[in-house]
Order: sequence, then structure tokens, then C-alpha cells
Amino acid sequence: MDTILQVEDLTKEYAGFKLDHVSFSLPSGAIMGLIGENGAGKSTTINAILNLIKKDAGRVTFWGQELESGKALKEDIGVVFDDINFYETLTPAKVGRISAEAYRQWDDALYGEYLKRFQISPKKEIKTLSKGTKMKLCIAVALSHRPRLLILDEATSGLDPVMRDDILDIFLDFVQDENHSILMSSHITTDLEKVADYITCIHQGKVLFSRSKDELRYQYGIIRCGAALYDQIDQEEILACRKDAYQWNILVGDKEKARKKYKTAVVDDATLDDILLLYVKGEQIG
Amino acid sequence: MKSLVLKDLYNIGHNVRYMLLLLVIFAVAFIPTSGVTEYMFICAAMCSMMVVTTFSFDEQSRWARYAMIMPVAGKDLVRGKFIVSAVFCGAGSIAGLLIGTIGGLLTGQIALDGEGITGLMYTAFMAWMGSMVYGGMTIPVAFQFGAERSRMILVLVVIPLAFIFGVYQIYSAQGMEVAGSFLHAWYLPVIVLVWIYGMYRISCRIFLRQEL
Repeated sequence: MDTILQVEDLTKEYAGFKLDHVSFSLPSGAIMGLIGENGAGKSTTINAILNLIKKDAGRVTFWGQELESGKALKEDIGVVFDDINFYETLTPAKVGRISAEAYRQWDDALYGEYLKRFQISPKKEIKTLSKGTKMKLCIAVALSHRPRLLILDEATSGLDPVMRDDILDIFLDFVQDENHSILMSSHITTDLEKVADYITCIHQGKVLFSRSKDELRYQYGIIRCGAALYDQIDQEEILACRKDAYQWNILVGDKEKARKKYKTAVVDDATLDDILLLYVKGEQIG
Repeated sequence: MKSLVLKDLYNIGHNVRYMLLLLVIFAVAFIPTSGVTEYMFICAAMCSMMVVTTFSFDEQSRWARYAMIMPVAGKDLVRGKFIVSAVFCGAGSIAGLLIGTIGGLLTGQIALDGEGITGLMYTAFMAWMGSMVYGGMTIPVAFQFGAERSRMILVLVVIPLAFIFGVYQIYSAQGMEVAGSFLHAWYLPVIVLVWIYGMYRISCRIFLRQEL
């Protein structure tokens, strides 16, 4: 598979926060979810990828080219932020005309189809649209210049589950074309469990892991045990652990091995939420 | 870049009616007391300020960061603001010319003969030049300080300019030639262009080092 987006050692330092040598790559035909707690560095990563902030170090390439290499590259990248960036008195029809002037690849008929599909009136002012409809409008704009890569920064946050499900379906449709990919940051991990192929977890500005979702789903597990068993567990097997009122919760990278080795322990499947919580709020050992 | 200009024109479209109403009110207030020439300058200057309003809309919708993910360069965005400013200044000058002419005729201050029309056209052109100087200055200030703070700064800039204009009026009323030869100079448009280019370069420097 070709690599659409390659992020290498991306570094950006602010007072009190450092995005620290973030690296990952996004293959074509895949959806990558960027997860992490609020303030972990997801949006900073996306802003640095898109050159909206100046990186201190590192390299970002799209199809092997840096974004600075020319405007043409931006034709192939559709971006949706967490809120609409068109002023509230504009209408979807005017947004279409503005975008048509910006993108050579703009497909007006396709935009019209999306507006129809999303039931967005072209003549209504943006301020009269619901949050979900505004997001759909942003997605319609992002898709109507026929990009090959979609970058979404918390695009589904603030939407109700029905609306989110509709939007996730659109993303799944988009990656049916194996030349298309999506990088989406979200703290709603259940959305990513539905659609993502890869998960990159950022915590305090550092990449904790960047793996396929199936690897996380089928290999990662959580050992629930008491203190006595905890002491017997090989520390090298522990990725992160946390003690709550009654037991230890221990994240391991090979749940089947753990089930065989620690027969008295309960070894549960790990959801993305569990993994994120243990990494963020627990103690990292392995 | 055309998309950026179009966006600003669409955004400001809502304010046009209020601006026209304001210009009519100003016509009633200023033409009988201060004269048509002063009114035409006021019109152009007021419309030149509309570019700051576009910055305000941009800030509210965080437009700049969105614009930078479109296939446009940072310099295009800056250039777009100067084009929009020129359009607003031109619209202000034309509105001043039309409303000022009607007001001048109604108050009997002007006559529509050859000399009168030439004078009005010349004043409209000078008003456009003057507003371009002011509008050009507002853009780097708005890039640097944002729309709201820049409005206050630009009002502070107007005070010494108004004082100089007042002194000029007093001397002119006494029949003294103060700046006439300068204002009639053929090279004035060149000076305005150089000024705008300078403001454009400063705006580029400010915008291109900003983080969005």
C-alpha cells in the first residue's frame, strides 16, 4: 500500500507544552484515528501537518511531497475542522461559489448532490443551520473538490449519535476508493472503533502507539486481578496499569498469552476507551 | 484569490444597506454645513473602514486558517484584502459622488456645468486616493492587532489627521495656499501606489509569521 501521509519527528514547543517527535504514516485506502485526551496534542499535530503553525522540527509529506511545494497539492486535501469557517450570513450556495473559485477540481454537480443528500437548503443562511447540518456542509465542501485525503479535526464532536452515524457512513463511502484516506482526530473512541483501520494515540505531546485497530482489538487485553497476582505478573508484559478500589487493571499487549499464563485472572478485551484511560490515567511500565 | 475577494464581498453584502443609510444621514448632516467636497471625503473614508469589518467576520469564523488549507498562498490572502479595500474605497467614492452631487444640487452648492462636473470627478478621484491611503494603512494594523483593537488604533490615527485638515481649512479660508500644489500634483497616484505597496509588504510580513 502507498503511503499518503508521512509524519516524521514532528516537533513543536509552546510554553508548557511540547509536541515531541510525533511520527506516523497513513497508508492509502485507510482511516486513521488520532486519539488522546483534551490537550494531548491532536489538534496541534493536525495544525502542524497542515502548516497552520510553524513546526520546530520534523517533516510532513503528502504523496512524498511537502505542502510547501505548491498550491496544487492542497487540491487533493479536504479538511474539516470542529466548527464551520464560513461567516454565518453566507448561504451554502454562496459557499459553493466561493469554493468553486478556489479549487480547480471543484465539482459543482457533486456539491449539489451532497447538499441534496444531506438535506441542506442552498439558500438558508449558515446561522440558521443546526450544528450537525453545519458539519455536513463542511464535509460537502471538503468532498466536492474531489480530494484524495480527508483530514478531520474533531469533526464529529458535538453531534448526536444519529448524526454521527450518518457522517461516519459518508467517511466509509469515501474510503471505498482505495486511493482515498482519512486522518481523523476524535475523543469519541466509539466512532473510531466503528470506522478506523489504524489508531494513533497521543498523550502529553508524544505518540504512545500507532497500530492497526485490529491489533489493538484482538491482541490487547486487560487483566483484572488482586494485589497478590499483580506481584506475579512479569513487569515487561505490562503496558500500563491502574489500581482502583478493589483490583488492579493491567493493560497487556497479548491477551491470549495472559489468559494462558495467569489462569486465575480475569482477562477482558480492551476497548479504545480502556486503553486510552489506562495509558492516560494509569502508570506506564512496559 | 478571486474566491477570497468574493467571500469578503458576500460577507459585507449584508452591511451595504446600513452603510448607504448612514451615508444618506451624513449627507443631510454634512453637506449643508461642511460642503460637498468634505462629504465626499467622509464617504470614501467611511467605506475604506469596511475592510476592518471583513477582518472581524474572518476572526469570528476563523477564516484565515481555513483559507490556508485552500489552494491559495498567504500572499494571496493579503493581496485579496488590498483588492477588497480598493473596491470599498472606490464604492465609497462613487457613492460620495452620487449622493454629494444630489445634495450639492439640492442645496445649491454646485452647478452641473463643465467646470462643476470636472471638479466633482476630481474630488471623487482624490477621495478615492485618500481613502486608499487610509484603507491601506488599516490592513497591516488589522493583521497585527485584530479587528476590534485596530478600530480603536485607527480612530486615534484619525485625530491628528483631522487636526491637520482643520488647520488646512482655517488657512484656506484666509486665502492662503497651503497644500494645493501638492494635492494637484500628477505624482500623487504614484505616491499612493508606493504607499500601498509598502503597506502590502508590511502586511505580508505580519501575516506570514502568524500561527493560525
